[in-house]
Amino acid sequence: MIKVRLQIGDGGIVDTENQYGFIYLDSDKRVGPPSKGFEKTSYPEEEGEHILPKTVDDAFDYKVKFFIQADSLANANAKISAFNSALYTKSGDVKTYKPVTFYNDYKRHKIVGYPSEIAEAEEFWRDRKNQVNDVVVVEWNIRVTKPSLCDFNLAAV
Amino acid sequence: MIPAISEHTIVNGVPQNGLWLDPQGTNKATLHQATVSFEEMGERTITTQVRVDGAIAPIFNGWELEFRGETFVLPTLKPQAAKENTSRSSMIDLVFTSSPIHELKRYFFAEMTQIEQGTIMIDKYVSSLRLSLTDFVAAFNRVLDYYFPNGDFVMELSSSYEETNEVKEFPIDYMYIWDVLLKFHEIYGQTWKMSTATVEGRRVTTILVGFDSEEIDNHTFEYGFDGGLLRFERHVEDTDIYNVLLGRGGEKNIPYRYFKDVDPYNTAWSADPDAIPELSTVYFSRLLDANFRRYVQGWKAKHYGDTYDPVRAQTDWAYQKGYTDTKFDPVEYVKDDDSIALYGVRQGKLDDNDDIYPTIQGIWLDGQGRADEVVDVEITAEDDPNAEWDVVTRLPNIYQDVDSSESSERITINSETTFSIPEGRVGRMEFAWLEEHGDAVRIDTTNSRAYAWMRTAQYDAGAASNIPAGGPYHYAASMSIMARVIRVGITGRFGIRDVAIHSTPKDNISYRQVFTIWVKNIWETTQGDESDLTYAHRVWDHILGDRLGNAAAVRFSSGFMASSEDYEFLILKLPEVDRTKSITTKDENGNTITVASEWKITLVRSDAEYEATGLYVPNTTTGGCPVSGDFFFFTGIDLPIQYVKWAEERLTNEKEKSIRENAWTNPTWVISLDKVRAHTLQDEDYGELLADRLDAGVLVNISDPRFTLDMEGRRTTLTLGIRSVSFTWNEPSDKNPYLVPDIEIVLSDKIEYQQDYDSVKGEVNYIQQNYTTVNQVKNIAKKTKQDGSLEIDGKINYLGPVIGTVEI
Repeated sequence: MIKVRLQIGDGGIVDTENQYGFIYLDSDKRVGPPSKGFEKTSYPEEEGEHILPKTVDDAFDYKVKFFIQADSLANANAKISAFNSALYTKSGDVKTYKPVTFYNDYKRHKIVGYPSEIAEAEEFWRDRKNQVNDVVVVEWNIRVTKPSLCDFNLAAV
Repeated sequence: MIPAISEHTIVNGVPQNGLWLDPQGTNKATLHQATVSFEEMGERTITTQVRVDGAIAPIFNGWELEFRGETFVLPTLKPQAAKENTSRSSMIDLVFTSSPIHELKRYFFAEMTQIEQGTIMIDKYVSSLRLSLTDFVAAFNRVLDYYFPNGDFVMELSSSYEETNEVKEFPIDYMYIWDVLLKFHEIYGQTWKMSTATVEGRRVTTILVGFDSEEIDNHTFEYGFDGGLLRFERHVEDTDIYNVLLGRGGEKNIPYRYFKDVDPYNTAWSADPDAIPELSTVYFSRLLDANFRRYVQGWKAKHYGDTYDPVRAQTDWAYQKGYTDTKFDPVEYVKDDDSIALYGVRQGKLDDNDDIYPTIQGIWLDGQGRADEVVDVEITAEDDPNAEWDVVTRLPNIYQDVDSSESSERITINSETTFSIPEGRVGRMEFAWLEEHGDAVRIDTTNSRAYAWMRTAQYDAGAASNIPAGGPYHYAASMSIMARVIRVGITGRFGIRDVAIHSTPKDNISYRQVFTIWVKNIWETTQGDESDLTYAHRVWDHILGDRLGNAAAVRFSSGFMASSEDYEFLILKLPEVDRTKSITTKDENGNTITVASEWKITLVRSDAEYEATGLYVPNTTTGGCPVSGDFFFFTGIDLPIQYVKWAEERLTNEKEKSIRENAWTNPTWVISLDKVRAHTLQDEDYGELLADRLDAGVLVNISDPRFTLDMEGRRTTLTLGIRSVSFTWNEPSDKNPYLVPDIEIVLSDKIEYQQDYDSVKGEVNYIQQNYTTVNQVKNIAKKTKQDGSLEIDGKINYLGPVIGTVEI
């Protein structure tokens, strides 16, 4: 199994499988943040275009797929719910999300951003007795608002 | 966060990073979008909108922004704000104002007075200042010193400014200092700009007056990337074109017999040399332009035997028209025949210009220098009118009860009681108005007076003190009473009270109610074998007429006495010949000359400040006195006809200047800058981005092979001023990081006025005063070529028919 680690807020860095039962399946193949565009102008009488060769990194979404297998007599939804609850604090109806740092030790990515909750599974299979969701595949998104905090050449652990 | 704009919060006088939303700085706001706007001689603001978490009640204390080293502050702590259901955030609209401008918007401008040596206080918030530019700068600095004693502000006049001593009238009426600045260019025609620098740890803002405008002279803006313009647009609006221009001058010093023969019932006044029967019953209250007189002269040559001058007629169309017209149809306009040929007649009118009237101001005399220069002044050293005066008699009140349905009444009340002035003494009467009435009624004190009288003479009370020895005198009040609201009658008791007669020894008074000025031979007259008195009568009788001691007066156009329009000094008696005084001055060519006086004029001190200070003006206590070298002018007199003709010429010149600007289409230009080019450094930019050099008031050159052509079809370069510039950073997007702002500029060759205040009718409506051309702003070596082109710093700018004829 591929190990990935996660830090939520100022909590400790934990193994996603050990802590949440989330087994890493796949993630974006990004090797760096995208850039915002260039200022540019063009004239019908002039070839090509003129750009101002200045720009900055853009925000981006980083997607991770997890495989979740329910423990015996447990529902996988309960694991997802526990994971989601760890992502924010709640005051009244308002949820305030904590920043997360995702360590992809397989692709050597360190991704820092704000998480979204897992609200929908991509696939699931039930056990023979149709009692619980045994296996679920979910996609989790991290919104990276400050790309400079990320590292796409993470040192091996 | 916009990199070009720094964000601070001032906490206990110390700037902290970021815009603090709470006293601890736990939550901060930042700018995602903003517009920096600069107007020439106008506002400098940063407008933005910030989003604040809806759960926070934000405070805005101490918020400041900084752009290009200039500090912008929030004028209000409760800015416009909204919270709506489309977002969890509150939206706050913020307009930051340049800090120096914000300071100048706090306080009213005022006329200052010196109550004693070295102590300045506010005198009037409502006044009409009459100051030369140099004196205005001094007055402005007095106000700045009063409100900002630490020297945070100073107004500085360019050393290249050549003093003309020309006085301008500047009305103030509870105007903020900033509003006075906005109006300054309109009145004086001088540009100004602010410059702030740190001096010994303090931020000092200098208001620079009359300095050259900066010019981006190494780049011509053209369509295309290299030229830096995405768009080049010519706008033409021809509805303002006029080629026949009407308009009259001022009312002051209009001759009693303007275009009329001698009045058989009042022969004190001279006839107009161009009097004709057709005008004998037409009354002119204002000065007419020179073309009117030229027409009349032509008409007179044809119909009344004057000699016709065919050579003159070739160049003087008004004269020729007067000569050839079969029906008397005088003209009082200037015209542009070429424009009429193209567009047909389009009439225009300039508002009557009160500033143009017959005067000796600015007239140069051969061998004498300026005609209006005072040779010498004599004022008694004692300022206190009560010095050495004894109270002789206190007299009963006199009054009349009025019950009238009219809204204005004039009453005259005479005393039965009499008094006398002892032999060897002179007297003066003092009094106060007696008024017992409701709020809806007032005494028009301007048109009311009290006086002593006897069978043969009257003596003004209060200001006039020279009541001769003798008697018995009665005393009287002539009063104008007005209702404050029309259709409301007048009820009440009106008169004078606290009447007191003072007297002093005739030959032993240190204070005199009059003072004396000596002037040059201003009428260039020669004394023949006649006595001084006969000579004085010959020269002055037709000038002063029957206005002596009444309406004929002297005012000053420079020096302290020019600081208020209230300072007007009646000419007490016939001027006397006196050549004992002299002044060393300059002639028109700048040569030093010494000029003797010719006339000694006795003037009555003004009571303009008497209620406030108990002293008459001029005096040595509360302000300055007129001095040798000050300039003066007359009001309420009949000047010799030549001065009238010169004034008519000035009026015509003003109108011709205006028609040159408006007889042809005057395109305006709209351009869109290529912000990529403006933020790309090229070799010709000499190390400074074009974008960083754009500011209000900066001059730029624009050119286009299609649109900027002269009359011969040659491409021209136009030098125009940036009247306003704005830099806008929008919210960054996936497509555009908005690291650099969009730039919008408005160009014009004219400086338009800010209109945040009431304009002053008449005196400011003339084109010359309505804007300053770029070429006047540049104040650099230049000359007009015969082909209408303009040479500026070696570059030929073919500016087309309008701009090419700008007088420089």
